[in-house]
Amino acid sequence: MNAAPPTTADAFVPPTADQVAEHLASHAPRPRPAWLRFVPVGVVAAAVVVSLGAATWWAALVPWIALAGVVATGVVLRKRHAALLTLTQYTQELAMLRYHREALRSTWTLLPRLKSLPDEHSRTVATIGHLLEDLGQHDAANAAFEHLLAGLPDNHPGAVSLQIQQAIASFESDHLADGDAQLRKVRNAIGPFEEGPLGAAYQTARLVQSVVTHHFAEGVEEVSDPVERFRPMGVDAGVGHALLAYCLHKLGRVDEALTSWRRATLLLPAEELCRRLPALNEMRGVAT
Amino acid sequence: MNTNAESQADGPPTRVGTPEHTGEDAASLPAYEPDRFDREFTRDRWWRAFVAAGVGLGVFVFAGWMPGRAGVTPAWGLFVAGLLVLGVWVAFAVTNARAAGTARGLISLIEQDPAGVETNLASLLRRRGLVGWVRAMVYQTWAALRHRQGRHAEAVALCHGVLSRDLGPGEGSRPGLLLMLVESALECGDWPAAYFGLCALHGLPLTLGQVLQRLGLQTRYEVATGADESAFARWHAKTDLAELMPGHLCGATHAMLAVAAHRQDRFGSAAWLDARARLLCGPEQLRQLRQQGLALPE
Repeated sequence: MNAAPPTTADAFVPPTADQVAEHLASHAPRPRPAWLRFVPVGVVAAAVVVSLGAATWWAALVPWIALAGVVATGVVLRKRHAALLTLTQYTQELAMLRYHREALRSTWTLLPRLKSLPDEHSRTVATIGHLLEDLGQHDAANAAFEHLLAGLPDNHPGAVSLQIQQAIASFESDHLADGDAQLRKVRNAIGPFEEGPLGAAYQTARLVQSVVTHHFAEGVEEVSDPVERFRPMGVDAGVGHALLAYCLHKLGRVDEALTSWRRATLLLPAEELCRRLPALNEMRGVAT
Repeated sequence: MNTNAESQADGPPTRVGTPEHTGEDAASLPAYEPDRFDREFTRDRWWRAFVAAGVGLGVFVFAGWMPGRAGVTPAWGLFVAGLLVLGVWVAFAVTNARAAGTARGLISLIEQDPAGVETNLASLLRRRGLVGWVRAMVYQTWAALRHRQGRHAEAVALCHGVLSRDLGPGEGSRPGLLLMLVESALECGDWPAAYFGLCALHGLPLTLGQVLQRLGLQTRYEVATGADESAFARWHAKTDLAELMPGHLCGATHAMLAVAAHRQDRFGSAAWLDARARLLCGPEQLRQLRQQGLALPE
């Protein structure tokens, strides 16, 4: 199996689920052992012992040379660490600016260098997952989310967010049972986050489920005040309004559907909405 | 409106944001005085000079005076002198590193436990012999605390105090400080300070998050000072960037752009921006924006 997709800038192919799993397994984070912290002290102490044991004049210089070496190594390591942090931030900014393919290529090649930085490593894997999701590679995105979820307790806000993403990815790739199981898990943990962006994202995931399983009435019943419910998601609230519009249209409530669709397209262009969920093309036709 | 300007007009500023100004209890931190920073810098410098003189004396005693007496060889005297220098240097470096680490850590605790941060900060301020950039970092944490507590006049004064120093290895925090300065200055209507901060921000390399913050603050400054043409210029690009902000900030930026568009007689754009702002901002947020003239009336 080829674990590395082509990485030239002009021909980068998003990795498959197997490639993602293998890449993450072979570049898992390995925090530095605690004893490494004491190496500089050990080196200087050893140099002092050598210096005390020797009777020549130059032996007095050994501890100072060792100390200079330790300081120089520390400076180099610190600079390398700062450069990696800058690079991680740069790739995340690329992702935020929606340069999906370029950001994915950068994060994919950066990941092996982040093995000794567990926080940055996790953040980069999450970015890879979101980028794959945006590129429509739902199975591969799920593999990245699965890797992150293995290290988080179920009620951690990060885990809840990932499970919601994973559920949406499962529904969009027609793995309905998996998506349903993931949403059930979220239902038990969503309580404390109900009012914020996570609650809104959960509601959106429930609407995606209603659309793909054709349970339109259930989806509509759950959202009593859509503007308030989806507001914490910012402009992404447009997706929730669009899904609600689709459900309302399917139930024959045309006026309400058009109101919801207008809200959706006020926040996100219709092309973007249809790219995210092709079923919405039907709603676009109705609105025009 | 301009609290700093007013206090300067009345006489030299002595205390900024004291309980008399804010009506709050200053708890364990003293009230900020603009001269305090200089005094502490000078005191730190004297303290370091005193320790350095002590070390110099020790080196002279061990390396120059003792060899030949009481059976001390020159090599042994030199070695002990070296150990003394090393020991003091390590103790100095550890004290400063720990103070810098604590100050940095306290910033992330401000949201959860402002009272605890205030107590810890008071004990940090009492430390002596800190190098300039570490002292500046402690003051930066103090500014962040006052900013979070809504004591904006004091936060502005603290930011000015820190920004006028060489931040050394903490230079990377300058954009964050300037953003805090601009936000606090806008909150207390100190337009010159806000203008100074925005100008300085335009000359610095910023992260994407900081660019977004600057966009929100600059739009607010321009709308509040009536520079509507400037606020509305390139509004498509501004709304594209605003979409990357958290929802409520994105909504506030749209509301402010709507005000600028309306004042420029661009009613179509104003209606579109206002409709988006109503979807993105909660009713309470919109009410507050309207009170400040930063959103169109209902």
